[in-house]
Amino acid sequence: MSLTLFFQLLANGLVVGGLLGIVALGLALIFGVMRVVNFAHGEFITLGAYATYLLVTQLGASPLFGIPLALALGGAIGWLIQAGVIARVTERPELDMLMTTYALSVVGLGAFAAGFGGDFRSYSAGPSGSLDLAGVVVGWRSLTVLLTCLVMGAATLLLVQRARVGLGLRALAQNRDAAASCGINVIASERLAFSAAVALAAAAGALVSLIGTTTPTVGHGWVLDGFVVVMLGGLGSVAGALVAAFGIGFVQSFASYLLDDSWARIIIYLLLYAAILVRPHGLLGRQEHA
Amino acid sequence: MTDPARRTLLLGVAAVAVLAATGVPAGAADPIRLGASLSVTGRFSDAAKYLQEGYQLWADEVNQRGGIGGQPVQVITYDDESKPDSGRILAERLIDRDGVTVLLGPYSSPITDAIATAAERAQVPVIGTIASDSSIWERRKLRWTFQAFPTSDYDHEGFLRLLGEKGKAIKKVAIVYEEAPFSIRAKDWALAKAKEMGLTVEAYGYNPGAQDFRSIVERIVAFGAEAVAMGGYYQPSVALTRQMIERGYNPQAYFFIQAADGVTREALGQQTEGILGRSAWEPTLETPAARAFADAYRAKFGRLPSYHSATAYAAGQVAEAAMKAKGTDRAAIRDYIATTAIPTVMGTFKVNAKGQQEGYHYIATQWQGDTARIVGEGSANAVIWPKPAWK
Repeated sequence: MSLTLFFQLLANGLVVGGLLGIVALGLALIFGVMRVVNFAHGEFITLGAYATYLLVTQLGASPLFGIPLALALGGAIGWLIQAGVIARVTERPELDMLMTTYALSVVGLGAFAAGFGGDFRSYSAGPSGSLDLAGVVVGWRSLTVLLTCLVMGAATLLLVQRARVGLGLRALAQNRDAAASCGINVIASERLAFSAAVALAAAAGALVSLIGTTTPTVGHGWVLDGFVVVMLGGLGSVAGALVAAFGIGFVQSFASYLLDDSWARIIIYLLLYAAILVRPHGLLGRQEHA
Repeated sequence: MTDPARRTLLLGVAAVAVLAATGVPAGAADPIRLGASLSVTGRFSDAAKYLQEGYQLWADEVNQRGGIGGQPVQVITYDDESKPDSGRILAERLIDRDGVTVLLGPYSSPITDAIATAAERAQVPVIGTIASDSSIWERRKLRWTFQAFPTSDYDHEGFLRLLGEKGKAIKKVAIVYEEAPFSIRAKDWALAKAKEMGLTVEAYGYNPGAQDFRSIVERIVAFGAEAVAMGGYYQPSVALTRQMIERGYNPQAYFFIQAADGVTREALGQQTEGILGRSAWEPTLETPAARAFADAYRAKFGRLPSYHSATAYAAGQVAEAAMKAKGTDRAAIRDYIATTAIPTVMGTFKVNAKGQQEGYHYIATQWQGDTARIVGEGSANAVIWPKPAWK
């Protein structure tokens, strides 16, 4: 394998890894803070994708504006859903919560299918052309995706690990009751975590629409991989999710090239299985003490 | 009442609203009934309307000519909501309650597959209007169900023929396929054909639902393919195309399976120029049958027909030929359809021993300016060759 090809595959892996990263970041945030497995995450990706599609085709705007639009829309909808639906079942048994997010997913899927039909939607507007760096070619669209993911990933990490509100989130992740007794506003923190996670998912959707196509089920594929990333990175570990996402991006890129697409999937799931056996708490996750 | 029975009843009640019986003059002889389950609502609803118009035009024309053996024809249609299960239940209703002589096909391979179950059991002939997936006939032993749509096995045929005519300099061809029965069968056919033509060919499979084709593009680049044929679904095809464009990889010829023109244009903009596709039928076909049908359709509906309407009309023609020859005896109609070459607006209908369509194949198309035009065999349009570089 030539050095150029190596860097080309590396660059390709970065783009997929970046997108997976912000999807998984949202899942990890929700799971870490609220212990909720959000089955509806895929629908929030789809939401961002359709919002961007409408923005481009109805208003003639650049799809780049779809990214802040999706962030804002996702944040607002995430806030409302957390307040109106999720918060009401937080104290209930885990299965109730699972069924609630599953129901949200089904409702979302139905709404998108009813509103947009089953056919895929796409647009050709937006950045075009590619950047050629000594033979390594990366399209401007892909580069936009990668850079946006890096910025959003870094911002989320800073929020969680450096900001004051992040302290509350981390405290909640460690022990909900203890955090509450220390004066942390549990309700506001949970709402913030959910809202930020949905905003990330919707922004990921805006980016997916930029490099791919949009259907009512576009989010599902990403969210399945997102769960794998979260498991690999350590349940609820935000930094671990990012590391695992890029790892999977590289495996996907190199294994698809050297073997084929099916083998890439097999290897990813074998890695997941091995990780569960060897490091059940994930790459960067902490072992929980009873 | 059992659940399935209740479901059938509910479906029946709902279906009354969309029951569309073509005009049978009062006092005429009892009509010969044909039936179709159509996706009036749901994800296939756009296409089903055109299918219904094709059936309607055919029935109206037959009745204007005095019917078949003095009996008018009537096409009864119900809405299957684009769901295979509903299609099967409605087929049972058409057979048991409405007593149809022949079932005309629904939209899509999965619904045809479901309807075949009911039809085979009741021994009623089905003319599978829009079912391109020939693996249905490979997988199941279907005696009463016939494929009336060009089979997906020959998806790459037009592309390879053009390659033979125009691409003498091309030595290496890449075929991308989805790990799904129809795509694998088309790939197998194309691999054998390409080798027979003396080409070096490599095939690359991807998982259903894939959106990331970057590694496949790298493999194609490393292989040095000068022509690429993508035989998967429409949506991954657009993703692959975009990633080839981003990579700056310019094959001299590029083919993928497209459906609606508008969607391809919306997704790829100006980059469509020179891209090859395939079509079951086009209103610009220069055959007398196609021209007569297109004129009649335009006179009735005020616009040019799509391939959906043409295949529906052709299915009617097949039923008509069989009933003219054999009356309303279902078994005799079945034998006639299974063994006879029947001229239709699509070309000559002829099925093989399994019931798969062998008579007519796809025609090659190419994006030229704002539309996809017929190119190659029997067309006056010049092929743009090689494909212009991505813009």
